[in-house]
This record gives sequence, structure tokens and C-alpha cells, in this order.
Amino acid sequence: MKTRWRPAIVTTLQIFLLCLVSLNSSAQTASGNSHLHVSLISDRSALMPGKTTAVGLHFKLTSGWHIYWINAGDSGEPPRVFWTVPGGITSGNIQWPTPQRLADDSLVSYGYTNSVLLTVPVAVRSTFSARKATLHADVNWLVCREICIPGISRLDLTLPVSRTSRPTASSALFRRTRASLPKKLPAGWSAIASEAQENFLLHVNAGKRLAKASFIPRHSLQVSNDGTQKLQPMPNGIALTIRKSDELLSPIARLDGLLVLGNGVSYDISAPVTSKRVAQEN
Amino acid sequence: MRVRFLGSLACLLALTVAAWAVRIGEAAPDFQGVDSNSHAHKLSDYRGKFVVLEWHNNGCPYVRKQYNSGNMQKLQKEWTAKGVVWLTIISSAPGKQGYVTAAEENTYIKREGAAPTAAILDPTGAIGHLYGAKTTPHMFVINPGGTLIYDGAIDDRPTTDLADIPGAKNYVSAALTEAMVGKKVATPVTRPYGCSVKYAN
Repeated sequence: MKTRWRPAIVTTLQIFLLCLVSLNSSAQTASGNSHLHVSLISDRSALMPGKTTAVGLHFKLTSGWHIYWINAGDSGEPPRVFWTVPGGITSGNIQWPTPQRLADDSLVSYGYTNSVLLTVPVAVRSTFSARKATLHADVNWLVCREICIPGISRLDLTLPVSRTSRPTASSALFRRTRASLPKKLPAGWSAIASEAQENFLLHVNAGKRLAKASFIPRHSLQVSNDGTQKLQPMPNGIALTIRKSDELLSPIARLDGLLVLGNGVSYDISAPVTSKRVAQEN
Repeated sequence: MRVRFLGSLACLLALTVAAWAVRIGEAAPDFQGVDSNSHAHKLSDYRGKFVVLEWHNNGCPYVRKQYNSGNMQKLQKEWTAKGVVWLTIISSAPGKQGYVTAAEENTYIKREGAAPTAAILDPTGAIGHLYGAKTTPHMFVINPGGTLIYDGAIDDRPTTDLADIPGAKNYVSAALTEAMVGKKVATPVTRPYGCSVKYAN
């Protein structure tokens, strides 16, 4: 009888100790609160010397809650990441997917609901010799619905470093995210802006008629977020009348932001603003 | 008939002017409000003094940063001692975060050691909309001539972290300091940071 009990006790003890160890461990790849869950994930199973790999912050939000784009709009703040990585590894900037326009009364912000993957390129020096690397991200986030809750998630991801790597379970998500990032303007397209007293006029030449488009500003204090943008489809593109911000005090050289078409495809644009005044506002 | 037409035209013009948001270098719109002690205030009551408008929501983490650190109270005391009129304005609609009754606001002011000249209750959001107040905090500074000289964030650290108070550049203090010696305000406009003002739907 005694000999049959002992293995069970030992196994139970081992499991108990393992649990204790994992509970005490400070390394975590995911954290959050009751409305936001963020995890640090990788596109590939390993980092490779001399190559750049995508890692990402995968945010999952409960219904109605949102986080913000790099230009949050009228209120709110985007998540900010501070990386601690080994020497020989460099983390890049967040690649921001096209945000949604979030309107609340007369205030308009730009951000994400449900879930979003914010990808970050990680470059490894070709002479990197360690067999594994731990990437640490301190993520300051703000999640809002009718109220706002700030938080910090301290996330770790340890990856092997080797000459080859395989896809991960997240690779499909990385691929979908990459495909949905704002694109460069296609060759042959152009975007230029002119200004009138109250508005910018953004002319997009696409070589074909565009039925629907909207402009999301990259910088604050340039255009009004709540102003309705007037559209004028043209045979070779589209013209948008975009109300200036009341806080715009001096001329700007370029109108930077996203041009989002009716089909959801978006383009990064940086339209030079000509000082030529238009005689008549559209 | 003509008088009525002209009256309507004037009314329409007034409405149009009121619909324009505030602009740096222009007259700050005159508002009417009632404070937590039932006293009425108009901006024009304070012609001849500097006026600071502080949009407030006691539950917003960006406001809590300024109050839990004691920073906002310190600014209120410092500048009211120099003759500045400091008006805290609460534009949260009933039922929304930050909404307070007069009694609740008075209790809050006492508890926080706050020292505004007055706390104006704006639950309809009329004053907030008139000024285009977007966030809490959102700060406006008006000079003794009634001109708007600052519109924007309280400082240059758009975070909820109290540790960011000591090193921050305070735009309100900068504007008041510069204007009081007749200098042009170097940074008259910034993007205000904070939670959205909880207007009625």
C-alpha cells in the first residue's frame, strides 16, 4: 500500500512546485485588465542573424472599448512601447494599421476596436552569436469606452536565434495585418493640396474615377476631425474639401495622412500644399 | 417689417459668430455660467484680468494625475495669488463621468485642497461647446483685453503618470508668465491631451 502512494505524492509535489515557479515568474508574454488583453507575439519561430523579423503587440478588447491610433484625434493617447533588447538587436517603429473613425457626440478620435496587431520590425545583426534572445516591451496603453483606463503591460518574449525559422501559429495574423497596412500611392497616382480660407482642397489623381474617399490626418491641429469632408468624384480621381482646424496658426508645407477609399484600401499620402488660393470653394 | 428683418439678420449673424470656435488672437467668446456656490459668472465680468479656464472631470486619469500630484492645486494658488481668475469648468452631462452637483463639487474642492476662483457647472455643455473644449484637462488663457492667448494641453507630457509632472513644461504658466511681461506667447496652441469631455448625447 505504502509503495503505491509514494509516486503519486512525488508527482503531486512536482506539479505543485512547478506551479509555484510559474506563478512567481515575472516573465509574461501577455497581460491587461478586464477590457484589454495584450500579448507579445512573433511572426517566426526564431530570430535570424542578418535578418529582420516581425514581432507584434496583439491587443484584444471587449465590446465597445477602443485604443488609439498614432494621431488619436480629439482625445485619447496611442499606446507607447519602450523596448529593452540585447545588444546587436534593434527594434523599429510600430506599423499602424488603418484606424477607424470613432465619433462620440462632436468629438472624433481615431483608433481600433475588437482586436488589432501592432507590428514592429526587429533587426538582428549578422554577427549576433547568442543562441536565444529575450525581447522586453513596456507598453503604456489607454483603453476607453465612456471612461478611460490607463495601464502598463510589461511583456517578455524569448526566441531562439538561428539561421532558419518557421512560421508560427500567429503567422496568418501577421500576413493579414501586413496586407491591410496603408500602402504607398501607386505609381502614376498623385495627391496635391491647395488651400482656401477655411478648407484644404485635396486633389487625388488616380488615372480613374474614385467614387468615395476620406482623409485621416497624421498630425493634430491641421484639419478639423469633426468636419464633414465634401467629396467630388472626378473622371481621373477625386477631390476632397477638408475643413481646416481652428487651431491651425501658420501654413503647412504638406498635408500628411491616410487616404481611405470606399473599398477600405488606404494609402499613405503627403500632399504638398500649394499657396495658390482657389477663387471659389467647392 | 424692416426692423423685424434686421433683427432676424442680426440674430442670424450672432448665431453664426457663436458657432465659430475660438481662435488665438481673437476675442474669447463671452459665456454665462453658475458656479458651485450659485454665483453667476460672465467672462466679461473679468475684463482687465487674466483668466484661466480649466476643463475638469474628477474621474479622468489625466485629471487625477494633476490633482493627485497636487500640481493643479499649486498652479491655482500660485496664479490666483497674482490676480489671475481661475475658473474650473465641468461640462460632464448628468449620468456621465465627472458630473457633480454643487454640493459634491464643494466637497471635492475642499478635499483636494483646490483653489480655483470658482468651479462653474456646465452640465448642458453650452460653455464647453462654445469653446470647443475637447478633453479634460483642456486649458484656455485669456488676457485682460479679452483675447484668447493660449488653447491646449496643460503641459508637454501627455501621460497619466504622476512622475511626468516635475519635468514637464507647463504651457499655462508659460503663457501667463510671458503675457504678464508683455511678451508674445511662444506656444499659443497645443493639442490638448486627456479624456474626451463627457457631453450629453
